[in-house]
Amino acid sequence: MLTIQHINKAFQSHTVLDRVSVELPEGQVLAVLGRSGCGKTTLLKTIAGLLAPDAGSIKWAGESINEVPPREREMVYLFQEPLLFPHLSVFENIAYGLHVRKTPEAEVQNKVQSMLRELELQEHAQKKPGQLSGGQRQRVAFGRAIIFLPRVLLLDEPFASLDAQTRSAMQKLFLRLARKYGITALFVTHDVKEALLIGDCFAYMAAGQLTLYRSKAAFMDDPATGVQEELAFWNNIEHNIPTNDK
Amino acid sequence: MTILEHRLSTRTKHGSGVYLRLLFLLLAAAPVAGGLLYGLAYSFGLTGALSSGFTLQHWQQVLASGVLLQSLAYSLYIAFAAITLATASSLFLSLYFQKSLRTGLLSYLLYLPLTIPAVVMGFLVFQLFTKSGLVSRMSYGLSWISELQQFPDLVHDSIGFGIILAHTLMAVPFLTLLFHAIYREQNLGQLQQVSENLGAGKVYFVRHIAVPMLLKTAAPNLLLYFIFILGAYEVPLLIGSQQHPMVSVLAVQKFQRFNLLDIPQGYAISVAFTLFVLLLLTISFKKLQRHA
Repeated sequence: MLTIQHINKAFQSHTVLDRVSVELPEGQVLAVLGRSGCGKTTLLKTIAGLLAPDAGSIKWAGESINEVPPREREMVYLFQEPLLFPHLSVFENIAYGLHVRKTPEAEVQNKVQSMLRELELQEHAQKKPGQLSGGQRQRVAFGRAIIFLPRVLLLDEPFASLDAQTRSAMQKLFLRLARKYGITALFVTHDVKEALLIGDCFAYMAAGQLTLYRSKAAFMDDPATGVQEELAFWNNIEHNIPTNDK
Repeated sequence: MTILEHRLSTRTKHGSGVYLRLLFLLLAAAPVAGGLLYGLAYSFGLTGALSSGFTLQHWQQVLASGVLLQSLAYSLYIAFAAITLATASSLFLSLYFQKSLRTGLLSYLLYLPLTIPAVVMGFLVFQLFTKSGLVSRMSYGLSWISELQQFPDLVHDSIGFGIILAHTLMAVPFLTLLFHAIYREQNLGQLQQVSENLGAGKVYFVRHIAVPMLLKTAAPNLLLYFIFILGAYEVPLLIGSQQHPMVSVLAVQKFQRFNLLDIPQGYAISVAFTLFVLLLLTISFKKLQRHA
């Protein structure tokens, strides 16, 4: 279980994380909803070890990992942009984490081929990132992050830059693979629908403070999350859009 | 816009493109091509003070003596050694001194050697590493050597230590700034975070991501700098070996001799070197394009 207790983080005098606490059981996906600038990215980077917290503790299975360097945490932060290594092929990008861990070559071949099939990228294996579409690049980044089964996957609005259709396909792919590999993940998004679709448990973040909900219903009922507003909009869609029939 | 107006405007654009290309040819390509043709004509005995009509004699003399091939091989060795050392040093600086290069003292100091002309750099290396130079006298002062003559030949030597050092010193600031710019432009800082996040240490990232990316992007510039060293004149003239002249020194030696019959050989050497460089450029750029 990932346990975060009272984490604080400030840049100069501006507090970005204000006593944030989270408990995330293994194999669960926590959807964190929040607007731009609420501290979501800082939270994920702090868990990944890319930023050091000013106070508070981060624990995995009861042991503090505050002092563990990012490369030893096994908590992969998936950036908003795919950030693939441009000189490596799709295959080599996905295999990167396995090569780092000195996995035997036969095992690398098997795992990467299997991941390519999952991602439906078999025919693009030897292509360079520059030859792929935005959605394909994001799929490669996703495959590269999960192939060595990290403890926690930290996703920072990974599908935000994709068009609606590709985004929907990526959400389904994420859900399928998350279930298959039992991925523990923090999925940050500003999209209510995406949060509801992806999450097993839910949180809302505003001005550096995180609110955890006991259930999906509690999350939906809280006016701050905007779920009710969104539902009301779609329920009254005919009244919301003016027509030119008159 | 009517169809006629559109056609007229397209024609005007097309016309100005042709004039620009002609201007480029006139200013950049024509002088080089003209010089090359004149050199060719001179080397074949078609022009010059003692010209006696078309002959292959000068080319035969140059090629038969083997001096051109020796000089070319020596120049290639010097250029390869200097560019390799400079590239390695610059990669080290740009990868391990990122902060100093961005805001520290190094960001200012690096520009200093760029202002030093090649002749001055050659003279500086001469002053430092000749048998009576500063390093030799310091070694004597520290009793590492019992007399100045014991100091090794580092200038005018056949392995070209002095030339390689001078060119390396001149290339390092330029290449460091180049690599630093590529590092930022290619977002290598963030890629390092990604790599670290996937479990890789700094050395693994440098070896598998940073160095290949920097070298691949800088390859055309490295090639051009290699050719610049290959054809360099002042430094090898000042501190190069008398027995092993680099190509440009060899050509100028032929031009400046009292024997006027040597001049066509000088042109033959120059033309052969130019053709070699053009061939090298063509093959290398084709290879680079294929791997782009």
